[in-house]
Amino acid sequence: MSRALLSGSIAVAMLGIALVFAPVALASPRAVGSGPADAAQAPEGVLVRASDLRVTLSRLLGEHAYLAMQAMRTGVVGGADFAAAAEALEANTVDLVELISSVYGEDGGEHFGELWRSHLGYVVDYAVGVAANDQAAMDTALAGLSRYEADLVAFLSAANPYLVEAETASMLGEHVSLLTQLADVAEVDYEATYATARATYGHMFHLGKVLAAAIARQFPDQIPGARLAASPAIELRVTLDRLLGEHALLSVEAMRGAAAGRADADAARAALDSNSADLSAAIAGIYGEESGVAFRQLWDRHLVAYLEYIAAIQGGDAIASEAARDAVLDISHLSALLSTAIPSLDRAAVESLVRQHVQHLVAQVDAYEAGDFSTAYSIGREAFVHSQVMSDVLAIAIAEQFPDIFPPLPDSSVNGAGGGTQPSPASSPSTYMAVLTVAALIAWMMTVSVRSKTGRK
Amino acid sequence: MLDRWGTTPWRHQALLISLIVVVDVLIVLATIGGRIVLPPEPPAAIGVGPSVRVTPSPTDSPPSPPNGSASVPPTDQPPPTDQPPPTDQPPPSEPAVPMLLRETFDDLVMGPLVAPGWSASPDVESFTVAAIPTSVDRSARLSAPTEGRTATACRGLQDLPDRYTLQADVRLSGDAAPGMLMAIEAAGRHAQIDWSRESVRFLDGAGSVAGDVRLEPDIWYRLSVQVDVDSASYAVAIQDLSRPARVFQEDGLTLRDSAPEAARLCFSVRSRTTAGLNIDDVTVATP
Repeated sequence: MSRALLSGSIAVAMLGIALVFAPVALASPRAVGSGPADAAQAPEGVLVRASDLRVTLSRLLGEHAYLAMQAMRTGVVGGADFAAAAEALEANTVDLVELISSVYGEDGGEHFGELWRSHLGYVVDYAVGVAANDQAAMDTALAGLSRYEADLVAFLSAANPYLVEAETASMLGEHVSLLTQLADVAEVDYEATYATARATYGHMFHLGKVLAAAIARQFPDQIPGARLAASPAIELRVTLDRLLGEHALLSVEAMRGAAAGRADADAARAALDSNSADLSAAIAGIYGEESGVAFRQLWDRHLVAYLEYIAAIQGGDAIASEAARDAVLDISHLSALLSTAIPSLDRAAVESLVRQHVQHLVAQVDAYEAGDFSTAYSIGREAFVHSQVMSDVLAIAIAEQFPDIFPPLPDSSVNGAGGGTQPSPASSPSTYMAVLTVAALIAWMMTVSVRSKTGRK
Repeated sequence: MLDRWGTTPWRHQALLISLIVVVDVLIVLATIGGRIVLPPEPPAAIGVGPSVRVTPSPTDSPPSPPNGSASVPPTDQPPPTDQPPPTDQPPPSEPAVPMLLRETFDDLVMGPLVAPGWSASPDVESFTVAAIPTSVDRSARLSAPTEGRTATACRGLQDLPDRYTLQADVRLSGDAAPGMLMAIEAAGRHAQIDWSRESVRFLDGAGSVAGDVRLEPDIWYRLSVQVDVDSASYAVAIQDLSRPARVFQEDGLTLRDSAPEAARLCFSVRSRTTAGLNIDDVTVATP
């Protein structure tokens, strides 16, 4: 045991978005196995809103899919960035464990963490077996994964009576199947690898939705808003979170692939294009085909600029690199389009948000090029977190713009206190923006803090 | 959030968005400016190379000093409280000290532990490779899953020199019953640490003594046993790895005589209901 590990991460810091939002801070941890009968004994106070739980859980699970792919890919070839990839994957796991612990207590989180890490271990072993064409190793790993599935289903079923065992088993089985498919094709079919990664990522958002819904149903007082969490407004938010989050992850992949001259670079770029198509389709679904096409053109320009920047820095021409960097950061047309389509958005603010996104991506690939893999992976995670800020701002504004299409469907009561559908002070858009700001500050502070800590023993 | 939609004028929102932007710019500037930097780490490999690295060269070890009671020198000063224990660094003396055994378990595949020199009872399922603390930073796990059951794993060793140090990180889990935790035996003498809910105990000649320290479940401890065969003595240090300070040290313990057998070290856990013992970073080295 010799590697430094992040004990927490910025993703958990961004969970602060949800936690700050709650009128009351974290409730006392609960014991695993507590059911609806125990819910009445639960401590007073809101832990997190159901919609935020859904978003946070889904995003962490989705990020897990890509980080697992990265760790597998570099692990089987003994890549120089393996330690950093494993560290990022572990940081994501720590975030998941902390989230589970906040609901089911430290023991529950610890148990979940052991199970979760075991499946990562088996997947790594499976990928190594595939790379070495070692059938016995693959069989051993698959047997372990089978045990993991059964154990995690048993854990979840015991923890939450609203999770249907067969459905949970099916979802986890699909996840494991997708991960092993990733290992199967990782070194032989790059397009299939990225297609599977995209499927795995999307599947994790479904898993997050199901798990969050069951948890919210189990603890309605601590996690209110179950109905809202399934409303069209939240579906829009989750869709944009998923697509923009994946854009960040795939951009990282495509940029690093191009920078390192990896054989899968073209496939990564193709997957990024596929994500762009989905994003454009989502825009077109709201604003019409013409707007979707216009968005796609500007969005593609943004992607091409990334790769041109990488080509420029690889060319070693400092002036060309600076020019390419300026081009990457020039997202004025994109922000103009968005602020025109969504009049409530301030153009300068949108431009700054998107520019920060670009700066994350440029900073991570600069670190990657410099061989500072730990920083590269860490900033990559920050880019993923930042994508949520962008998507949430967009989702709020779009839902506000089209309330008939994206009604929020608020619950009849919040925190079990009754009441109607009047907006609470804590849930108005302006308050939300303020909360985002505070959360971003917290995220930054925690980022600085956690990076001074190493070791889990 | 999206839960409720207020009627705040959008210019207010714009101001707030701008505020977000300022904060995020700070984040980006901090990031790009290198204020947030993780220490570089050596790359790790998975699935390649042996996990067990044995250097059977006791003859290479430096000559033993004159007889004297074994003691553990106070090598580790407590680091500042905001720093973790130096678990991620190689032992400070590693480059200069002949390593007789080093076992990290990191490169072993998950599942039943299959590695040269190890044996386990009552069955192979009781001794496994576990993704603890992480999926690639693995440890060995000894499981006693049923009431009153004892699980033991032993590692055969080359002949040991007259002075050597055994070090291992261990973490108990579940509901353990009193019993042996770790022992090392060579040349008909052995040292042993026992666990009980109240305290650890150490063999001391024909008897045993209690140490004023408890090993709590789910916490990693680093156990160090420094043996001096010539003086028939040993010393023990126990460090809580979740805290920076060493929590316990016991010097001047007497090795117990036993039937001469091949050198080996053993770990064991006994369950009251169900219990486990994680073992990691096992080293045997000359002091």
